[in-house]
Amino acid sequence: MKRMFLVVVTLLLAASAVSASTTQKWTAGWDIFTEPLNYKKSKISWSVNPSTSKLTVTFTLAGATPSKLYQVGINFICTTFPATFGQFPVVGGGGTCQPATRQGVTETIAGVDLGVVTTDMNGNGSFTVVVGPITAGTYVLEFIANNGAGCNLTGGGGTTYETCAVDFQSPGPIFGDTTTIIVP
Amino acid sequence: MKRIFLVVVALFLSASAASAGTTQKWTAGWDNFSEALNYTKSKISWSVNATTHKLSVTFTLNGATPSKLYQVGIVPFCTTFPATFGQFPVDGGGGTCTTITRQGVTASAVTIELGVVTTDIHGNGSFTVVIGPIAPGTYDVEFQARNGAGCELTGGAGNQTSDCEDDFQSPGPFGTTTTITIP
Repeated sequence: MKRMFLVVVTLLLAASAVSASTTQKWTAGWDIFTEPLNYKKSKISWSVNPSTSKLTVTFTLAGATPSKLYQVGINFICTTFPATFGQFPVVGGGGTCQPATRQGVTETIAGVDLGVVTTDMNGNGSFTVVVGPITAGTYVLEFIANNGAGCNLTGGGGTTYETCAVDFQSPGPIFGDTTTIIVP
Repeated sequence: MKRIFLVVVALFLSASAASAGTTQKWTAGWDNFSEALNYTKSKISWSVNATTHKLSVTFTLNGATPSKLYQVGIVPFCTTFPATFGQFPVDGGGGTCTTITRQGVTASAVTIELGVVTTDIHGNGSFTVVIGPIAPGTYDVEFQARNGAGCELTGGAGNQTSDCEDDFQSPGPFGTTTTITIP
């Protein structure tokens, strides 16, 4: 009985080690600053599984515009970047990162679109994605939520300012404030 | 020690009971019949939590068009329907269900838009949603995946034929339903 209990506890500890995650808040985006959001309840949670080299990210929005699509993704601060990040294509096909100036800050970036948060009638919604396997390395990045869905993807509003404008960033509050994710 | 072990086992059992689900396959949609999909690997898994009156649904697409948005939802067949399904609004605000004819079958139904599956470079993607609490009742439904995102929602392609068309349905063909009971 004692041995079985220890096995169960070991399994629980192993599971919690894999799923230990970092949670961070959204701030207003670098394009649109008036989109509604409950910044206290909204968040991003992410974790890296070192065994599989996979990154799990959950994007949560609360108190946003009801029944709206927010495309979510990652902007990497970089000089060069591969054509893919895990199983997702990099916007523009990778290579030399592109300069962008927002909020008075200029950085060179590469973007990856990961999915869509769809809000309910209360403006709440979430989306979880597992990315990987990812090439080992240190990634300096910001998470973003666009003002619509279809930026660089088929089947939505297309690559227009209205769709692609960034409503929310994390960590922010200024373009270029970054999170570092290490994939061993 | 024995008591703690039994508590741990009980917690495991209750968790697994709540998450026991049904898995069903996609079939070609009632509007588009040529959209790419690996029908063997693609699926929908759903379960009802009887305690919370919540319905969990995971939509999985495999081998679809890469880097594409597929809006997914649920289509209850009905005569009248409330204005909401859990926390989601019903298209058109509920009331008398709309009569439509597809694949030679005429039926009245409503639609609830639940989210979006975004595919990767391989055409694979999934989306999980928890709906509820839902009013107790028996719901005869089809699940659907549209040809884009933004139908009846803000921030996408809008209410155009190109994105509102149904690419995939489950179980199908149109009017063939799954029964979901909320106790």
